[in-house]
Amino acid sequence: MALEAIYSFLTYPKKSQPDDPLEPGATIPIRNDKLNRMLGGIFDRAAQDCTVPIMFVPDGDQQQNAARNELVALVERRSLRTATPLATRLQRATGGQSGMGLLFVCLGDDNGTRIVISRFPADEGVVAERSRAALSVQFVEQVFLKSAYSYKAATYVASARPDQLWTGHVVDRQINAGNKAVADYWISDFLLSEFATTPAAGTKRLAVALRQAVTTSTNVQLKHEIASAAHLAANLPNRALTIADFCDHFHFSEATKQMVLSKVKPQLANERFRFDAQEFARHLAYKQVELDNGAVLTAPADRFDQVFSETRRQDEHTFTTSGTVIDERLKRTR
Amino acid sequence: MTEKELRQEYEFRYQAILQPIAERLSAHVLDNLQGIPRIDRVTARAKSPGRFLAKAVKALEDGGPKYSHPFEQIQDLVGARIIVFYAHDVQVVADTVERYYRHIERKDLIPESEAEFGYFGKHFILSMPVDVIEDDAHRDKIPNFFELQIKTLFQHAWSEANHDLAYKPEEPLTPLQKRQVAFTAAQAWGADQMFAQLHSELNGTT
Repeated sequence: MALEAIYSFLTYPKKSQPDDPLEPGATIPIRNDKLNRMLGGIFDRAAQDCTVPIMFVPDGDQQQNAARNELVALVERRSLRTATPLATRLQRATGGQSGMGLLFVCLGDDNGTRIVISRFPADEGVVAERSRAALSVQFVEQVFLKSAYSYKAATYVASARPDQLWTGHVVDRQINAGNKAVADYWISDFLLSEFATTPAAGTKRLAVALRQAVTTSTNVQLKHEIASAAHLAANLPNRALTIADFCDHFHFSEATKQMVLSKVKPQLANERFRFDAQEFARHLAYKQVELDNGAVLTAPADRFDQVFSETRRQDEHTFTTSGTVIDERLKRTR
Repeated sequence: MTEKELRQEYEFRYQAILQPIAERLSAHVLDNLQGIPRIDRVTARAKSPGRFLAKAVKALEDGGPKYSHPFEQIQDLVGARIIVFYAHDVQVVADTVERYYRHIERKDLIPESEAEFGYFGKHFILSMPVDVIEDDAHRDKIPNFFELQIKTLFQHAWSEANHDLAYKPEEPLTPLQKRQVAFTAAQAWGADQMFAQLHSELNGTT
């Protein structure tokens, strides 16, 4: 991989003043200096750092997306002028909470043209310089850091025809920020994109993997862990997660986690999607019936009628079932 | 790529990649539609080598090729179709499709003028789901997108017959033949209207 062009822009939070102009950007010369080496490192690691697949959202019903059009124009003709619309778009999408940022747009060769867009948030800092005589300490107002908490980047590879470019990958440390404006800022507002996996598709994959793990395993602990998670998942907020994240969130044992992950293709274990509680319940629900004599019957919803046979005489229901006892426990609560 | 090379490459992809994907895609779509009533069938096919070549070598008015990269630019190398009983079922299915698949294009195909009858249908260009892709096998040759059509039984019947006839004539249709085709389209449209109305009346949804 070789970094071939770098453009840089200062972007201000202008979501509320979208007509304010962008400050002129700069073309960073390609040469062997510290800045080039740092950006070269980001460029080379982009495929490993940016792990979340995203896809442009069409504007209307046709195959158009304004951010994508700007990206394609940049790939077709590299220049500060063609990179500027992306910086303007970022500035107009940036709200006050995200603040000022330094944007780098890097292009280079990687079996096609790789584009890496990265934003360094502005921060305040202190520079300490030690000389033989004394220590000099100075306050610096505009420091741009690759912050561990708010760093954002996106990468795309345009091979064959750039106009077929619809997907890319991002890193966004604030994907699950409590503030929706912050959470949506990079992927939705700036890149006009969404996760490549829809909430329903990702959640269904997760639920089916959990169900298959329960069905194929004889491990009682595993069944218990998954059943407990299935009950609690209804209250999981609409957060962005992967199947592996779900396992960690509910503190699955390593054996349970590995069993669940073995039920999906390896590349899908870390595919990010927004959890959809309704969809989850459609595929992994436990039906529970309580009788006035104190009995509580529970079984997977899709097999409840097979597990229990029911006869009814007026208001009195009789449920029967038979099987080998594989677990028995006393619980304080249901 | 010469026409011969194009054909050879497509025939390889057709056998090794596209047909198996179409088979898995059909099952994938059907699985996502579980529980929705009045779905007659779900099918998926890989575009035949003959149809691909005919499309790939099409020229623009100025004589230049329409597709410089036909494998990337032709987005219906794999096509799926969902056939439903009634016209109002189309939207129910379309909503479900959009819940599970990302689209880059969505079209309601209707004749240009209200006084014309012809092709009706709802078309999507959708992102190929990772679930139907065999791990890393020929990853760079797998299409990124597929076309999905949702049609009623009557729309499907009309478009199949029309498609078959469209490939037959050596000469353009006569005015009478054009009217006859439009007449069959109008009858299919009318049948959809009547069945939708009957279904609503009989199920108390009017």
